[in-house]
Amino acid sequence: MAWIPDRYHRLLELVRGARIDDDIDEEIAFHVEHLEAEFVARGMPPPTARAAAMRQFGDARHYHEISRREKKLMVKARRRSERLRGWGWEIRMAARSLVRSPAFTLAAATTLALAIGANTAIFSVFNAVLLRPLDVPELERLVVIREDLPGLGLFEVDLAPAEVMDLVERDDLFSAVTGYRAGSRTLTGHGAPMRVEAATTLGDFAGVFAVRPHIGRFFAPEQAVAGPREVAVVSFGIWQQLAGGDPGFLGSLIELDGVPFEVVGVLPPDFRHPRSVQIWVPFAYTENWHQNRGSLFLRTVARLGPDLNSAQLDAGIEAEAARWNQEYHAGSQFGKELSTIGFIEHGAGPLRSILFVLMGAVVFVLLIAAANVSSLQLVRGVARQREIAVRTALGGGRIQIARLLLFENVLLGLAGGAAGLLVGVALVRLLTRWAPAEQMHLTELPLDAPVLGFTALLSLGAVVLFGLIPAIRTMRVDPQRVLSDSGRGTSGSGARSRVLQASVVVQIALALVLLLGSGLMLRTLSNLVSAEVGFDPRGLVTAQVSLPGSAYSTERRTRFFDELLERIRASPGLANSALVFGLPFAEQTDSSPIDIPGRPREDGDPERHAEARIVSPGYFRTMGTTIIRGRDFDGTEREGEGRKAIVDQTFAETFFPDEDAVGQIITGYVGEETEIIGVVARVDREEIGSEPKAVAYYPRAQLPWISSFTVVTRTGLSTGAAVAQLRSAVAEIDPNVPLHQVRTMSERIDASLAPRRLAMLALGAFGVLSVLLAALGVYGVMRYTTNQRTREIGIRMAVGADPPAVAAMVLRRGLVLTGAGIVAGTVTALATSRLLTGILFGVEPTDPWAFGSAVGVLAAVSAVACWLPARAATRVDPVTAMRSE
Amino acid sequence: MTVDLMQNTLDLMILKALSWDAMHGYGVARWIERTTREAMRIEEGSLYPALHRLERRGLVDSSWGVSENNRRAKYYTLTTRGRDQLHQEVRRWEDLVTAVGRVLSGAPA
Repeated sequence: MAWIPDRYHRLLELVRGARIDDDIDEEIAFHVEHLEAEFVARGMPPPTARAAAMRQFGDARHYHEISRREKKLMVKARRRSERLRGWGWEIRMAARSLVRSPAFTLAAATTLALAIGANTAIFSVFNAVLLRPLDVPELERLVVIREDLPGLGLFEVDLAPAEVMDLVERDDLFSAVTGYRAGSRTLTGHGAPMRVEAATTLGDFAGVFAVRPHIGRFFAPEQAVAGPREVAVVSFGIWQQLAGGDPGFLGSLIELDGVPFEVVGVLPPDFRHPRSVQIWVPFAYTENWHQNRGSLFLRTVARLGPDLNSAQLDAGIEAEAARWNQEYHAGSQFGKELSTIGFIEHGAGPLRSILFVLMGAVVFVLLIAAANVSSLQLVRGVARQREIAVRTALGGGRIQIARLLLFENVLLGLAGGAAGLLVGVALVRLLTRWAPAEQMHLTELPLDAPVLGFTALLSLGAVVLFGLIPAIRTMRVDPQRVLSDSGRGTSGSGARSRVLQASVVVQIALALVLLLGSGLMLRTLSNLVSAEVGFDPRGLVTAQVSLPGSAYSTERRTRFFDELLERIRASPGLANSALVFGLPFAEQTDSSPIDIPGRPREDGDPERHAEARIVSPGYFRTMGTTIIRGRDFDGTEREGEGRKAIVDQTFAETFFPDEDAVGQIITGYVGEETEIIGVVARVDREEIGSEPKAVAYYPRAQLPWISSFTVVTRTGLSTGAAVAQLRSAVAEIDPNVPLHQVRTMSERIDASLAPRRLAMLALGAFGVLSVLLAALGVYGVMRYTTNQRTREIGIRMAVGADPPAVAAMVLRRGLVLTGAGIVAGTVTALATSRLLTGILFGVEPTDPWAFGSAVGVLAAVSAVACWLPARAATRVDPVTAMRSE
Repeated sequence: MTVDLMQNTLDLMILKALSWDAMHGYGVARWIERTTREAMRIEEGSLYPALHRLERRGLVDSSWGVSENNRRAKYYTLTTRGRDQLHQEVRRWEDLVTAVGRVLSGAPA
């Protein structure tokens, strides 16, 4: 009865505008006529009385007008407050209705919270890596420009400074171009010396990244060429650290590797590129660089010009590369080609494909939750049919009922969304703590506007999708049928149970796909961890030693490293140590051309290039890499004497497929004839399972100009003790030489596995979550349908069906649904698991082990979920069941 | 200032009139005429905007009723808020009168 309050009628009365005028006219007429009558009664002649009455009343039209305005305002204000009060009332009704069925509300809100939380967490990673890795306007217009030199087997390498300068000229293509390289330097002049990352930049770095200094200015692009070059822009962090945020820091001097630079600007706190760089200085572009087009070391990033389309871009850089080949590399076999890749895509690297997979997976979780909550709604809808029928019969319009259901769902969505945000925050925290987030630079996952917006949108979508549609279905109820019925909602129950069954099938199917994905990732990880990498990482400690170029001549470098290795090997516990340039899982090595004298390369022969690594004698023993044929370097190699090399299996098989590689002569790294003295096992390079490439190892003694080596030591000591000894060995020779990049080999390998480990953790979590949700869904639906059939079961039992037969009947029905879900899931999985191919290792997307266990787990779980209602069915008391109807 | 004062005074008188009984506009006019002994002459039409504004502010309520001569007439009653408002206004008015009275009769300090 309170359903349509009578305020609506009053409202309607007031709204009618014409009515207002009539009312006022009537009041005024009443007044004037009364006055007139009184004057007449006092003895005035009627026409005079009329005039007197009107005089005493005043300007009727004027008063009418003002009254009318007042009334209109009143109607408007009243309408607004009625509406608000009405909404408040309806929201209270909705809240009360949710509180009245706590089991439903809790189940639905929890399901929503888990799904929305998982989506929020994955989206926040997605956002941080692929949408807004840097707070730079029009980030999507930034491209990384790379070079391919197919003739040398070099692909996607950086550019030479002169080439960057050429691209800077191409303002028809780019609005700004910069080339930069980050490196570690020693900062002095402000307290204790410290290692900082500094970037030398050529071209318009500030323009490309649209960075405006917090204070001061960014040095002009021309300064790289014309000078003064000794100027520096520093990070907000280092400004705080060195000067406590004092603006007087501008103009002061800092020293990098002993060279003074004047600080001219401080960048804003949120600018971080290249990552961990704290100081930016102009690249010293001298005349020499102008001639040098072979040193390819500047990461080149360009901001696309306005209105430039991709065809124009491709044509433009192709023409530029063609010009270089013609003007500078005529007659060479380089064949330089330029290519571009989106800056964001480039930065995301291997994480990109994994994040797409995870976004897809988490959407599946959301769909499962959707199916789950909507079947909960349907089940609840039955219980409410009577309530809604009563409301409709009492005159509740469909609009009001729909609004009540909408408010219920909005409240549910708000609760689910808010809880989901909390779940998301917790998951993100868990992710940054437990997942290998640091190795992927994911330590900061801000809950910024896009993430919050995404969550809000999901909650909203959830409300509509999960709640409203089933609710509206429920609403389409014929009150007469429901009320004249015994009260059980039989009307439309056929369609309803079909929808419920479909939702169970969907949930099981999607859960199967997610389980399969996590199974495949689990196998991938276990394959990777146990994979043969070509050396034994256990107990290997590595650390890099770099000599400052200015202070060490070539001769001193050789002596330094000779002495260093000697001292390290003399330290207790570090006897098994060696030096290497080009450590696997750490440094990228150069691919350089090789040749085989006397055997010109013919068409169809493999390209003649190989990666070069430079090692000390004993390196293979220390690493645990098997020497398959021939021997190790023995320490007798000298510069200028017969050059020696050791090659890996891939090299031997590629270039000497039918003969013994040992004893063959090649033209190696330095272009002189070199004898192969041994063949060693293949070693994985940057990643486990990376595509094998031919590798040649050269003795350190014959390449004395290398100024940076990694010490590898196989030791039984703790890492800390080993590193302490390494440090003191270095310091005994030169206290100014730092030891950096200190890691165990296992840590390095772990870091290379980080993206896949993230994928496994996330997919595993989604798999478990989806199985739980699906089980809950199966249980709920089975329980509901069993309840619906209580009467039927009662009759069956009354006529002699024994409990096991009844249980079997219920179970059969549940298992048929499960089976259908598994079939549907298998089909979906076969169609989608191929998307995983790129991140799997040593396992096919159709791996029978993974399929089998996913199916097994799901079948077992849903059997339990069906068995519980089946058992309940056997406890039906026939008498009560039949009487209850 | 004068307008506000006049407006407020009119409002106050209407509220006071309605504090006795429900009345229609004509009744309010007669009540004011009687009570002020015709000292205050107002254009009676100005009562209606005032009544309607008081209604909008929720100080009075209106409903249709039957007048003494059996015609349909709109009757106004004081709401609870209107009654509170009246008490406040009366007190303010008395304070003002006292204060002004002191000023006018006061000896030089």
